[in-house]
Amino acid sequence: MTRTDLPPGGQLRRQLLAIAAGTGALALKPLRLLADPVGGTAQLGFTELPGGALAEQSLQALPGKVPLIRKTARPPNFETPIEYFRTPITRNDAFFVRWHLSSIPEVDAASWALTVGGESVQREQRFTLAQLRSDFEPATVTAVCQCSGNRRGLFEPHVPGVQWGIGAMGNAVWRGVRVKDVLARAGVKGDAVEVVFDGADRGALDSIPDFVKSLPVDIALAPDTLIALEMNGEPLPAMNGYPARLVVPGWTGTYWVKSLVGIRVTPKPEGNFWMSTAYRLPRGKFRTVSFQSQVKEANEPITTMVVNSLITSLQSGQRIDRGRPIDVRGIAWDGGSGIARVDVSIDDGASWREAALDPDLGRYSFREFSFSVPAAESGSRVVMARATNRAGETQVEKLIHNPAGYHHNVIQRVRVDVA
Amino acid sequence: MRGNGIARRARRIASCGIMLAMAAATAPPATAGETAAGQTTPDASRPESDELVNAPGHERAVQCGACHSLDYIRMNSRFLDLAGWTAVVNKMINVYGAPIAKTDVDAIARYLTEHYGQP
Repeated sequence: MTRTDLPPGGQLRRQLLAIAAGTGALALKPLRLLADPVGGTAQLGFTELPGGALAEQSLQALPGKVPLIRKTARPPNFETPIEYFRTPITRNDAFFVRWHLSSIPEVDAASWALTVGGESVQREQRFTLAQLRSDFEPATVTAVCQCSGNRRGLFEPHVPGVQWGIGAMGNAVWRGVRVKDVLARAGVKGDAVEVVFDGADRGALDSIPDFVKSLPVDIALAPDTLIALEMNGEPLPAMNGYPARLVVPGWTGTYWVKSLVGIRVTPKPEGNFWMSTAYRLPRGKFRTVSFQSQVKEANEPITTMVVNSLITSLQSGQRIDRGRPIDVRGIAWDGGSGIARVDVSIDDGASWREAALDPDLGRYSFREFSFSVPAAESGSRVVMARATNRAGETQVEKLIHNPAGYHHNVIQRVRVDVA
Repeated sequence: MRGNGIARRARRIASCGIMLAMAAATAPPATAGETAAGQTTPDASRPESDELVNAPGHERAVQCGACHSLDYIRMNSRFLDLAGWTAVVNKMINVYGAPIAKTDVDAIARYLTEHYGQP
């Protein structure tokens, strides 16, 4: 096989697998994905979710994980409960789980290898885990990984898909090697347009498009774009892409390819289903950065996250004794500009006051905020938090509806009862 | 060619290892602890949440379990109308290559609308 005849998408993955099979490089053993139920559904909240989703979900523990909110079993899609967002870094064993395809490999670290090739590199390369660790300068970034469809379940009207609540996200310290350093060894040609990433997951049937994602070449070569080998100082959990996953700070989770096995640099746009059809937004609805080589007349790929926040200290319907403080704490994040301020309202948006921000852990990280005011009068109050980033963008009051249910950043409204 | 494709699919399914509620109308849905190879794990006693309402059309609708657990259907209820469920089933066939006969689309969509659609 020469570099120039590497076909796109699923064929590439099959070729990589064929190469792997030939050398015995990749052990594709199915993981056990059975989860143990430990709790019910009522406390998992968010009544805006479709009734079927509320009835269906329950707390279950995947291997290596604390009980998370199970949305679907196969492929596994599990959401992080809100209590784990009361710290700025999300624990590995509580980090959300999202897979598109139902066959998830159990990768053997000793035989795992990353192949780098494509029409727009000068020479193909292959790296073992040990080589990645020894040959490259380590790099670290603290960054939020958030599913494009986080909060999809709160869309009104509802749209089909995984009916996520608020927990299809997490923030971690990712450590690994820079994609740009790895690609430098292969030599990126001047005609490179996109860099294509393939993970070891696959569909139950050959007909299901393999999960392959591409990035604009300048994003792939950005110094913070990593092949992460560690998450919060530990190896990546199997459910989060062991032994290596892509980290694209600021960009939505769909680009953070798990169990990475292949990188291909190409002079033309990647045309597979996951780029050309899925994960797209109607053009002009959002102010996020444009993925130029993938823009079509009617739509374009989702790219960076929109500014957002989550109140983690209050539950809807919570009772607060009169005279006691209303403590509003939470986290805010965006697509990489960094959080400039968070404003809090305790009167349903009639007036706003600026919350205190906790130390900055980096522009891609969750930023904690806090605000406290005595609950002086009895009655129901609607508490809101509104984050603004350093680009001046802020959360929306009204949902920007889109067919696939992405970018939900409507200002949260939590009712508390002072008595 | 067609036969090879089916055989290849069958091999892939057999190697999948994660429980698969296969389409045979006579077979009950697989449970969580049951693998495609017929082996049983210690979790077999726990009921897998893979059942759908047993009513006309059920035998066709369980074909969806070839590629994903059927909790996907219950999770997406009840807000789609007949047009919505028809679009979903067609997307599964046309985009994801689900091995479901075109002649089954209408029956599956009607079943899903009645039991998992807009009330």
